Amino acid sequence: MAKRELEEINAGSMADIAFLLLIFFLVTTTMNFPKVLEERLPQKIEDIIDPPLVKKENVLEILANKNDQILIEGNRGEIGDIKDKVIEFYDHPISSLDWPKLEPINEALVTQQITKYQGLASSYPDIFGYGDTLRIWEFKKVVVAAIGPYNEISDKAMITIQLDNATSFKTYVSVLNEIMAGINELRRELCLAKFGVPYDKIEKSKVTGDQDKVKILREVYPKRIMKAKAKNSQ
Amino acid sequence: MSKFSKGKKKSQPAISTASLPDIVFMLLFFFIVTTIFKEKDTKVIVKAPIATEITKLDRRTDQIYYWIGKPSNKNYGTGYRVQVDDALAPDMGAIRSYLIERRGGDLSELWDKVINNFKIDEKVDMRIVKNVQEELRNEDALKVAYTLESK
Repeated sequence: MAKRELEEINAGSMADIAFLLLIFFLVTTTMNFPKVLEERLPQKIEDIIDPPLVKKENVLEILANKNDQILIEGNRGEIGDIKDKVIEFYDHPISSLDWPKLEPINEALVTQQITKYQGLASSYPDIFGYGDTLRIWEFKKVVVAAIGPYNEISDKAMITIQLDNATSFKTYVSVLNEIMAGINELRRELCLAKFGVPYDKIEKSKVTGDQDKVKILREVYPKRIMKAKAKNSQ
Repeated sequence: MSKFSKGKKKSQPAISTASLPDIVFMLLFFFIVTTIFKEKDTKVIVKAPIATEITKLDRRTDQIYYWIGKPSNKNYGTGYRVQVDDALAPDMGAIRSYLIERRGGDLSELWDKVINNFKIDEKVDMRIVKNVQEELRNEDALKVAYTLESK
């Protein structure tokens, strides 16, 4: 009589079990990341005395009223007009008086300023904020080294969105979206011209060096949007 | 001829499926790792507006969710209501106390990194949004993101 061998445990159903689990996770997984527009709220400041006087040319004023109509710099406009205005706001001839002042930044200026503030910072450490100014100029040096001379927009320049209480969220989003479209277009152009990569690829990338590039682009075209209360909203 | 066929026909050996479980398990682990179950149930109906300049938000960052829209259950009224994380806020003060609780509690270390993720119906007026954000500013929760639809 032949000795009966112990049969191996049949592992064929293992695949079935794994498949079942696999399908469960396939169905429950949501791979889409939330898609967002980001914004930073202004810090709460106790008792505002008077808002600092701003020159008219330093502000791009966009107003959306309760009927969702748009006013750009005091003129009736459409949502689609905002983008071009934003581009002009950042990128215009230096001589133009209607738009924020542009300051040409080049290597000679950067080197001169760094030497100046290095001297000041070592003579007066910890006071007058010379150290901070020095760091700003040192970063500008990095920018110049990366992309060459560029025009820096005045640090007082900002885009304001004035809203009525009854303005719909949809209108606010489309205004914000158009402003970002303008800024992003400028950043995209510069990114492609200087780094040869699409901006959208590096914007959220975690690869080393990519965020440095993004920082440089943001320095040249900073996002300065302020949500303001409409002055006389009816 | 006999060199090739030795009388009885040999059947083709079946393809081994022994490695199939391995492959499936590999896929399985991938999905287990990437799955996130955190999907809060919403008590308000929201149709977010469409935008083009949107960026992806990493889900793993700490977020507080806000929904603003009309309640799906009519028992909660017919006006616009604000839901913060899991519960409908009865008033703006409740939002504030929720923020204070989170700020003093589990998020105390990372408060300035927390993203306040708003999902707002397109018809909601900015007054409500402003009132909610005023509470956020009171508690120094300044990072805001609006979840929107892509085209």
